[in-house]
Amino acid sequence: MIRRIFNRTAALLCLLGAGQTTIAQTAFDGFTMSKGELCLVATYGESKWTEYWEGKRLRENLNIGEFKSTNFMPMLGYGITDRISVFATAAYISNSSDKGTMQHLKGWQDLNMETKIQLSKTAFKNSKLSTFATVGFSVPLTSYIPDFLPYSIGLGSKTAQARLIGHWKHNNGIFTTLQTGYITRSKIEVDRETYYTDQQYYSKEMAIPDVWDGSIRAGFDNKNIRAGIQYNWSFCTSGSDMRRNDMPYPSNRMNRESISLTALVWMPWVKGLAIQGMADQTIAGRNMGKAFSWMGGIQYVFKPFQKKTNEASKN
Amino acid sequence: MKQAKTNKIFIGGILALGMLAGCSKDIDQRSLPAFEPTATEANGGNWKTILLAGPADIIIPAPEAAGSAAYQAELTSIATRQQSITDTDKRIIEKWKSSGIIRWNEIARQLVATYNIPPEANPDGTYPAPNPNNPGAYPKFPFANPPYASRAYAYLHVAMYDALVTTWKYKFTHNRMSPAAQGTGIKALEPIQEGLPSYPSEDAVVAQVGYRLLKVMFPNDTTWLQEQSNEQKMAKQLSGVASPSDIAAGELIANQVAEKVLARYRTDGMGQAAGNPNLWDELKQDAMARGLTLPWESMETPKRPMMLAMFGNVKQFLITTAQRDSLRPEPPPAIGSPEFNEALAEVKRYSNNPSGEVWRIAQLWSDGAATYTPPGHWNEIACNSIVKNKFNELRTARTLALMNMAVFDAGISCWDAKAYYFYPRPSQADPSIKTIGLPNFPSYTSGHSTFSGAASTVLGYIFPDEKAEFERMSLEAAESRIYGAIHYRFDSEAGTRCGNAIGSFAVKKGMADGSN
Repeated sequence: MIRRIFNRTAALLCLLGAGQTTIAQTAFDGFTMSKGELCLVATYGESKWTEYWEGKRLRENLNIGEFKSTNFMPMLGYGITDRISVFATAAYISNSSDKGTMQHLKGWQDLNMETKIQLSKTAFKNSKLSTFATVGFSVPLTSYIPDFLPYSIGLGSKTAQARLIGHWKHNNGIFTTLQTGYITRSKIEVDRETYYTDQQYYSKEMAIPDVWDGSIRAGFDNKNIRAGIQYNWSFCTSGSDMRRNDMPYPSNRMNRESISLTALVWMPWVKGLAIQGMADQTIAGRNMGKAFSWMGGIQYVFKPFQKKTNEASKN
Repeated sequence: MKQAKTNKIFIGGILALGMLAGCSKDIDQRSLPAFEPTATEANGGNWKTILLAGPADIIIPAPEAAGSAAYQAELTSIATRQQSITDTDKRIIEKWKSSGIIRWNEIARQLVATYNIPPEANPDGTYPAPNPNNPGAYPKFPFANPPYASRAYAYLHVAMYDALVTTWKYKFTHNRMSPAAQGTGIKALEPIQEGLPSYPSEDAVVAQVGYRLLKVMFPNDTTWLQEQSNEQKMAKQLSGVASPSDIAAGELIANQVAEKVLARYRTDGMGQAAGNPNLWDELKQDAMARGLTLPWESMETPKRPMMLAMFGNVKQFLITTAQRDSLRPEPPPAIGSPEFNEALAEVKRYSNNPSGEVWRIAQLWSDGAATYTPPGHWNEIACNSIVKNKFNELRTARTLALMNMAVFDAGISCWDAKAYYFYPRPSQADPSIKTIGLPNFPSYTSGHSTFSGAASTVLGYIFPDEKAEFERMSLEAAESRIYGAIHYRFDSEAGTRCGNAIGSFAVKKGMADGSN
């Protein structure tokens, strides 16, 4: 029974170095939770880069050296019904580099909430197709400093997003998932009152570009393990390029494409317990670090409010 | 039922998202309100000029009489043009009304911000220097760092002031009023100051001086500057403020004044301000010979030469080299002395907690790379008060000339102290100290504090009602550098004192210039 829950829950964290992406990966896979299921996740991850794209130009910066971002992220998921589940997460992030004199920053970043709704499920001869939609938002949890990139732990923006997910799974365990979404992001207020990005602004306000993102994933899923490879993209729909040798700004057009490997392994000796891991390599970008990231974590799924006999299959 | 409810949630979510997506990305920018100057300053032509001996240095012809055929033809052309006025015309009239000087000050600030990025190192570890003879090649000319910026603002506004004193002399010599005041049906499409003659046009003077000076300082933008200049002159003719001959007379004054001011600009020693490896080493050796045990080193990789190491030798406006030397602050505490250790510990405390009000103040005054610099920040502050007090163009020019001379001289004196004492930054003494962004020159004294001390002293004299507020801002700017973990408290205190002293020279000059 527990294995079946896992099969349906399968909240896979695929941490890309920021809270938004984590919950995105969690809520935006093609797997469901059933009513009354609670999923607790805790992960630790690191992301490092020595080169970044200044606009479109890849360069190193000897006054940054190796940039390192670490994060600890608790997450909570809950099945409200068999078709609707909610997710919440927050990340504690610490950013530093091994060269230069710039201040290092750390702290709690944003609270991310997502609601995931199953729109359809269609059974074929040897496979199933499911579709989902998600809506969600994020708000900064603390008054962290957004305008000190790359050391800032987040952009300080309030966001809202909507997303569509298609998930096809063969009975032999092979699956593929395509998801794409749009994230709108609010303007932020920064400490300086005048700044120059693509022009001179006399304002404390800074515009944060919206984002179109998504991923294509292929993998294998059975009662013991789920593993996959995926291509991720995240493109700003507006924003300025960093000028040569200038500092980055939250309003920059930050684009990123990456390839990641993910795995989730069930622990046979404890019901509902799994460990998970992820590795991600940025392969293209704009105003963004060329990062390698990894994450490891633990998740526990159980039904705290219901008797365990009430686990009728919803698939 | 359940399906319908789910769909409602989803549709609700999409709608909420749509509303958020509708949120504008437009930035709400502050801008100065329109205003009408209160005084005509009929005696302005007698105010003491700065670089000119006096208005008599500049010769322009007498205007055609108001009744002359030539002038009447000018009026007819304006009246005709006004009949086909477009929305674009109205926009440029709106843009250039109130104070053209403030517009040009904003243009200068924008150019400074655009060019204020330190060049990237070459692959071999050396640093390229901008080349004024090939200004478009990387790194583009100029690198508009704070010293460069302070100098640009100063020369721009000194030239505008001298040219406007001359203009006022001729205005009240010839007393020919604006086209809209001639009773020929030309409308005043913007407020026109009553009793202020329009020959020569002060707007043409400002536009032409702005163009002539800034194109030397920012040669890549010559075309755009020319467009700005032409636009201002066009706006004034469209709105009935000035006739073509008013404009031409203004240009004549501006060109002559620009020549004289640029002659000083080109020979004030800035060309030698970068120094060379021998001079840089000499500075270090001299400071060590005077007892310094930990000489300044660039904390950048690769090590970048001190920014404009010899800027302290550039010719000042208000004080002589001897006065500069006598105003040079006392030596800073010996490295490792109890006073030094205490100051270093304070910096370390701020570095350990980069957050809240301390960080906000550090960022607010940071004015680092890609900004209009601290001198630009004080220009914005000055312009706010100019508008609030409805100064006319002549008094605006005087205000900005006095303040920017003081700020420029303060920068030179500060750089003199920096080069002389060659004192290490807190993060050199203790590499665990992380900063808001470390400038690449020695610590003692603080540039921000010196700039701000000078500016606030001058502005407090010109706007006595706001004196306390200027002082507060100046001290906050000085404090911000300790908060940002890039200066010891004694850097800031010595800088403020030196800035105040240099500011008082500008005050003295202002008190004696005949404008009071």
